[in-house]
Amino acid sequence: MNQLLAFAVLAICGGIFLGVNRALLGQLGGKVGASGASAVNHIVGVLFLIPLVLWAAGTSILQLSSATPWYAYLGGIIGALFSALTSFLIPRLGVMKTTVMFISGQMLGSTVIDYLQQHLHSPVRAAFGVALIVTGIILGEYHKFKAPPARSVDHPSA
Amino acid sequence: MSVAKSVMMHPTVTTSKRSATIKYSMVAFLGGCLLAVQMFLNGVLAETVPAMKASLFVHIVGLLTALGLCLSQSSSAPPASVIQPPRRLAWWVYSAGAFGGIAIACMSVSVSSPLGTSGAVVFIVLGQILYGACSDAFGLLGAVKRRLTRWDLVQIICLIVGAVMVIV
Repeated sequence: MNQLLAFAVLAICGGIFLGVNRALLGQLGGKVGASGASAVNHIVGVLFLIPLVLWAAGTSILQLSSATPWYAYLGGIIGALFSALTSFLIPRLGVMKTTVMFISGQMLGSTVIDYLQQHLHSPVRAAFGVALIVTGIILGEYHKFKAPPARSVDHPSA
Repeated sequence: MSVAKSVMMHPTVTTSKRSATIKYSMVAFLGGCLLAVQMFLNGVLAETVPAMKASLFVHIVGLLTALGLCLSQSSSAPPASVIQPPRRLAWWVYSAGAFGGIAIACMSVSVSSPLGTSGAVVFIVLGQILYGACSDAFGLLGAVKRRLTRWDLVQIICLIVGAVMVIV
């Protein structure tokens, strides 16, 4: 039980660090542009991961498996585009809204992928879960559109 | 010019700003779907390559892509900020990538723990939402403070309940 709790806390920390990463990317975007922020993110990420991988994998760091399908490496392209997108959206939507939208899209995407791979243990309940998430988003965006704009927070007074 | 005067002179400003926000939200949602595709591809890679090494290679591919993106930009000047004026950034802002790397390490460890992928994802999502709420409420790390409306809360609750229904 304690072990599960420790891993749960670790997972929560992972989520928090992800939030920190996004917030900093938002700041970077204003200074170096969205693609610049993505580049900085990946340069530092690579520099950070190299010692970690050396420690975990030893000197076989550069060895690749021939059994890996070629498209498995494409995740990196998505990652770069995603970092640029993050640094573009955070100043415009704020960390909370961007995070909620990202996670919601991720839930929909991973549910569809799991369904296509037949990994879903209860497809009906998953479908309802996704429907609930999407409903919440539509409701929230619709009311945001109808409501008067929030005052003082992001309107600069001239 | 006061806000009221600018709204009267440009009556469509607020509406277009609101619809722009919705467009950005939709783009973010689609980006999230792409993230699921990336997770799937990373999973395929991790079947034949150890997780951290896979992450490093994914990052290297990403670095090359990002550099390509930078080179393909026609203007070298960064675009003007929408809300915050450009100012000197503290040095630690550039460490964003390190936090991404730490996050990946935490997530990899918790996914391969007894929690499993599903269990870990629930808490990873929780951590992101916790940070997002605090960030907007307190303006953490220089972010603009935003008021949390009840409809933001509706979206968050729907997301958490829906995520649990999907995952568990």
